[in-house]
Parts: sequence; structure tokens; C-alpha cells
Amino acid sequence: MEPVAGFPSLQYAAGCFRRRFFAALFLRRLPAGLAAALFCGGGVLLLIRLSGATFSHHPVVQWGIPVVFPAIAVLLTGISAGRRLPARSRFVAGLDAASRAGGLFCAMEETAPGPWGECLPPVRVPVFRRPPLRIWIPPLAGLLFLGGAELVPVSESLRTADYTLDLSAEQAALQQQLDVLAEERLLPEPELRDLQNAVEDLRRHDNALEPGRGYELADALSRRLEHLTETLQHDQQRQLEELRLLDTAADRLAAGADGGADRAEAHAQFNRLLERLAEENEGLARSLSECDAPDGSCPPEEKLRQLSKRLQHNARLLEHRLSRLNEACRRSGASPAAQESTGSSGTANPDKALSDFLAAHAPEAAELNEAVCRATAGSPGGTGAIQRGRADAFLNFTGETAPSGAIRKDLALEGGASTDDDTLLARFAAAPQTGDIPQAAPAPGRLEAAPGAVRKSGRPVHPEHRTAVRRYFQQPSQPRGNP
Amino acid sequence: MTSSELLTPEELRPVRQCADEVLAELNRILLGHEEAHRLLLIGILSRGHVLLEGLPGVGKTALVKALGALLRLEFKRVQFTPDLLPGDILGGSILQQEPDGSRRMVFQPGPIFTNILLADEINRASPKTQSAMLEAMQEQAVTLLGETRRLPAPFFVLASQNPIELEGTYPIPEAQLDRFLFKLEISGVDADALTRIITERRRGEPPPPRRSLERAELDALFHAMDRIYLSEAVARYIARLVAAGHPGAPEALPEINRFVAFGASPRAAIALAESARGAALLAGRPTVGFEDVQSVAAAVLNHRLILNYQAKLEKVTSFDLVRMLLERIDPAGIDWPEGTKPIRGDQS
Repeated sequence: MEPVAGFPSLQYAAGCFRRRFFAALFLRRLPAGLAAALFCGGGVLLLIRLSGATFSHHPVVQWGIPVVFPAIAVLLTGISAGRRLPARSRFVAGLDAASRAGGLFCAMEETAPGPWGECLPPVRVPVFRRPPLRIWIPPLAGLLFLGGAELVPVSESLRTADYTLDLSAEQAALQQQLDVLAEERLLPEPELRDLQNAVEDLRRHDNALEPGRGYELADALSRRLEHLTETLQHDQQRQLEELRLLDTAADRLAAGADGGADRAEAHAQFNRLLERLAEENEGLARSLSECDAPDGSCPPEEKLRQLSKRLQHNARLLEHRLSRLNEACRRSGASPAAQESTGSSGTANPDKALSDFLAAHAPEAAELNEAVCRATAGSPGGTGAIQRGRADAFLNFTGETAPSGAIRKDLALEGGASTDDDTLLARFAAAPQTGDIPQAAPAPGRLEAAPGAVRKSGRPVHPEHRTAVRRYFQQPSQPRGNP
Repeated sequence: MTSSELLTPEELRPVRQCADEVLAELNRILLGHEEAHRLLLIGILSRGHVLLEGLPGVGKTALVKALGALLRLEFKRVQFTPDLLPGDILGGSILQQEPDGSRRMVFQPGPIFTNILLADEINRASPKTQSAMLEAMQEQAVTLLGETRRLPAPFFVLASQNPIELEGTYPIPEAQLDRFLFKLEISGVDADALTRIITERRRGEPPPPRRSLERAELDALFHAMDRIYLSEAVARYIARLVAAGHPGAPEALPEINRFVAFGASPRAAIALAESARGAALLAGRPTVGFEDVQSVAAAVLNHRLILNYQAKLEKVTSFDLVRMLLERIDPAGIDWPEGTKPIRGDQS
């Protein structure tokens, strides 16, 4: 602060001096107060985060502590500085000494100056020396400490010791399904590669730090494979039936080889079947078309017999392929169709069993339990997200939900863009919905909405993930095992 | 403060001019001790006694004589010797025969019954003799045989002592030392002044004064002194200065605690206040300022701080301690935030 000569009046100069003194006192004491507040705030924040409290990433905690503690320090410093302000008479005396007024300013506080009031010396405010910059080192250290407590991610292992989402079994089952699809060449190469990448992605996110993301990926991949498998099964079944029809047609053709209108009709039917099969399986159709006579006439009986054998061989291959696919689905426990086709009985009511388990051991997972119960009741899944610990973590149907828990996330089918309404399957929100959500056209598969039902959001726990969910909510003191 | 109204410029101007003339004349008569002359005049205006300490031949006696001539006050000199008795200073009663044959005791006043008493080499007299002056210096009166006799007004004791000839001398008791307003050190003059003395004064005799004060002018000066205003802030500063000089006091400096055995008495605060008024008058101001207190503090306090052996060991003088007090005690009493207090150079 620089001395300023020529203040309009002694009163104004005294007020200015008083304000400057307050500022100097405030700035001199502020670093210590700020340092204490920042270290305390950082310590409190770190303790909250290490304790794994569910509110540790609530905005009130995350941003409130860094604001409230320093604000309190500033307020207390101001109050303390205000209480230490000397009386006004001392400021006048300070001005008298700085201006070398010879006691005239002090005398004016007690008696009338008389003629001397018209020839006062210039009022000079003392120059405050700047305190050394090193006094700001402690608050800077406190700020770094608070920033570290705020920004440095705390090791999830500290808080995930009790809860771990283990998708290894689900990964193995998905990989097995994928292997079957690859071995039997049921899918084109690009699509196989895409599915393999999805499995790799799942492996990368299957860790304690991203259980929510890992679950979401596993869920999406499961449903995708489920849909693919159902489609393939459906196609394979259809092809098998067509092969059998073709075989029957070939037998009929062979039986009616002596000619007549029946033979022509049988030949025509044979060709129609062959054409339809060619649309779906070019390789098979090509090999089968060799049996046809070059002039388009009815093939001879011997060729028909060979064709019949080849058809039966291919039918057996298809049956084998279908059984492998069904076996792989049965092991993953994904598809009810697979379960039906393989005649798997499983648990009598697995959804009910999971629901009972969650009610007994994880009462806080009420929304998840509700979703399971609704699935048990046959209605579309319920709403909401499961949160445990940090808001953006653990088991969360909405995936990467912001700490406020109010951001919606669209879950699209088969890797489509999340904003693509054509692939929109469901719209999830962290909070229960109060209004209708615009629905996309129902996608094929088991997630069609019931007629007349307004599906708000959410879907039940995927059957093949029930075990993972159950393991996740198991407490360490409880023995792991099937309920 | 004796008056709530400040001296007006018209009232102050003539008395200041008068004081300036006395000072200028003193500086003309005696060369090379301007500051000592100023403090001596302040001491006179403050109606205090002054102790002059200096080597032989520096002009202590000439200074007192010149001052007496300038102020047109009665001046007497007493050479203190070891055999001097109190009665030689104060006077005594003698038996005198009247013309009718009767005899009565008649009081013969001693040399102390004067306006200015020059007690030359006061430390040569015995403590008994020195103590005889205590009442006179404090009460402006002498009590002999139960009868108190007032001394002439104004009454000043201007004592001198030699700091180097300690053999055969008696250090002035602290009680008597405390009664001196100032203790001034009269040092030697510089070469220029010495050259002028040699060339302009035969046998070093100072020229006679060209101007001397009338009694009315002197009374006006004393009256103006009484009206110099001392504000509460300045009085508080004086009190804090004196209090800080006491070891063990809350406001005492660490050096005071270490080197001072006994601090200054309340008489020192009164002396500071009175002498600060004189400094303000000579500066032409109607009020006492902090700088006035600071200009006389060393002369007032240096002989009142009783130092311990640690100070003698480390060669710390009372002047050093007074300088520390002036530097560290804030005049306004403001408790500056650490590291923000302005140094003197910043207040320009």
C-alpha cells in the first residue's frame, strides 16, 4: 500500500487507514486459517471416501467440503481481524505520527483546533510492508492435499472387499457359445469377429473398478447372443425341415420315377424346395444341384438316391449343429427355448429364488428385487438402478450413471448408436419414471412388450446373470453357494 | 494539559521568536553544541534541573554562564569539593549582635538562593552534601532548623561532572540523579568550530550576549509552556515508553529484561511530558507531537535506567536501550500485523 497525500479530510484518512489495516490484518492471518481449513477438509473428505460411504460422491460432499471449510476459515479470519482492530483514536494517532503533524491530529480529537484547523499538514497514511510470500506455502500445501483427496481415485479394493461382481462364469459360457458358432460356421466372419471383440471388451471391463460397466456389457452380449442363437436355431430348424421335405420330395420323385403327372409335380416341388434352400444356403444348394439332370428333366433314380443320402447326411449335420448350439445355450442357461429344447428343468422358479435371496440378504437392493419380482409375475421389468457405494459404480442398470443419479441412458441393441431410435430397446433411468417413455418398435426376441402394456423402463435380471448378481450381494460372512 | 484551548498562531509566534533568538544567541556565543543548547533551553523552559557531563574544557561552565546572562537571571556558582558541607550550600544561622546589644540568630542564605546555581563538579562533594540539594531541587525550598524557606523563582540547578576523573569522587545517588530533568553529554567541538574559537575569541572568552530576555518575556515563555497541549495519545505513548523500560513489565523488550536492573520512575514520565512541551514550543507548535517526545527521550531516560553487570559486560549503554525503545514502541500503540509494520523510511 502506498502513502497517499492530500486526503480530503482527517476523518476520511482515518477511515481509509482503518480499512487498510483490516485488509493487512486479514491477509496476514488468512494463510494460516486457510491452511488449517484445507487440511481439515481434505482429511474429512479422504476419511469419507476411504470409509466407502454411499454419499461420498454426492455433490454436497464432493463440492461442499472444498467450499465450506475455506469459507468458514475466511469468515472466522474476518471476524478475528475485526475484533483486533484498534480504536479509532489510535488510527488518528498513527496518522499523526506518519504525517509528522506534531500531535495536532490527536489534539483535534479532544479539543477544537481553532485557527490551526485551516493549516493542517498533509495527511499521510502509513505504508504497509508486504508480508513475505512464504506465508502462502502452507495453504498451497493444503490446497494440494484437498485436491488430491478430491481427485485421486481411491483404490476400489478398499471398498470392494465385500462386494465383487464375478462374471467369469458368464464370460466362459458366452465364449463357449461363440466357439460353437465359429466352429460350425453359423455366422459370417465379420459378425463373428465383432462378437469376439465384444467378449474381449467384456473381459477388459470385468474388474472390481467397473462392475456396472462389466454387467452392462455382459447383459448386452448375452441378449445379443441369445437373439442370434434363437434366430440361428430358428433358421437351422427351418433348414432341417426343408431338408427333410426335400428328402421326402426326392423319395417321392424316386418312387414316381416311372413318370406320369405325379413325377412332374414331384419334380416341380423338388425344384421349389431346392430354390428356397439355395436362398438360405448356397453351398448346400450347389452340391445338391449336381444331382439335377443337366437338361432340367427329372433326375434319374440313382441320382435321387444319392441326393437322398446327401440330404440325410446334411440333416444329421444340421441336427448335430443344432444340438451343439442348444447344448451351449443350455449350459449358459440363457435361452428358455434352449432350456425347453434340451429339456432342462433347472430350478423350479429361479426368479423367485433370486428374489427371495435378495430380500433376505440384500434388502438395500430393493429395486433389483422389484425387477426380479415383476419378472416373476410375468410383467416387464421395473425401473431404477442399483447403487452401492459410489454413485457411478457397482451394480447399476443404467450403467455409467452420474452421481446425481438422474441421467438417463439408452441401451441399444447390437451395438447400435445409443441415440438411434430404430435400435432403441429400452430407456433406463436411475429414478422411477413418472411418465410414459416413447417406445421404439418392439425388437424380435423375448423382450416384446405385452399388448396394451406401457413399458416404462428396465427389464428383469437376465437369467444367466442371476448367479453373478447373487454372488455380488453375498456377504463375506455368508458361505458362498446356491440358495 | 492545563488548558483546553490551543495557543493561537498569534500567541505562539512571539514566544517562539523569543525562544529562537535566545537559542541563536546561545549558538553564537558558544560554538559547536547546537543540540545541547536546544536541550538546555528546553530544560529551562520545563523548569527542570540539568546535569552536564563532559570532559574538562568543553565549555560547561561557559554555557551555564551564558545562559544566565541571556535569561538575565541571577547566577551563582559553587565549586563542589570533598570538604564542602551542606551549610556551605544552603546557608545557616549565625549569631549576630544588634546595635542595642542584644543578640539574635540571623539566617544567612547560602549560594543556593539564586535563580541559576551552577554546581560545578557535583560528584566531588560527599553524599551528605549532595543530599542537601535534594529538597531544594524537588521542592524549590530549603528547610533549616525547622523553618522552610522558599527559593527564588525560577530556580534551576545546572550541575556538571567529569566522567574521567573518578578518583576522589562520589557517584551521584540515584535519588538525586532522578531529580535532574536531563543529563546532557557535552562533547568536544569539531575542527571548524575549534578554528573559529581560536581565531575569533582571544583566550577563548566568549563574546557578550547581544540580546537578553526581559523578565516579562521569560514569564511569557513559561506561560506559553503551560498552554502547550498534550493529547491523551501522546501521554499514552510517554507512559508506554517509560513502562517498557521496566524489566519484567508486559511491554518490556527482551533487551530491557536482560540489561536493565531498574527502570525509570514516574518522575521520568513527568519529565518527558514537560520537556516534550518545550520541544513543541521551540518547533512552533501548539501541541506536543510524537516526534517531540522522541527528540527528548534520550536525554530524559538515559540517566534513569539502572543497568546491570550484564550490560557492562556487553558494553551496552543506556543510550542504546533508549534507542531500541524508540524504534520498537509504536507511537500510536497500534499492534501491527506481523511483517507489515512500516519502517521509518516508508513514512515519507
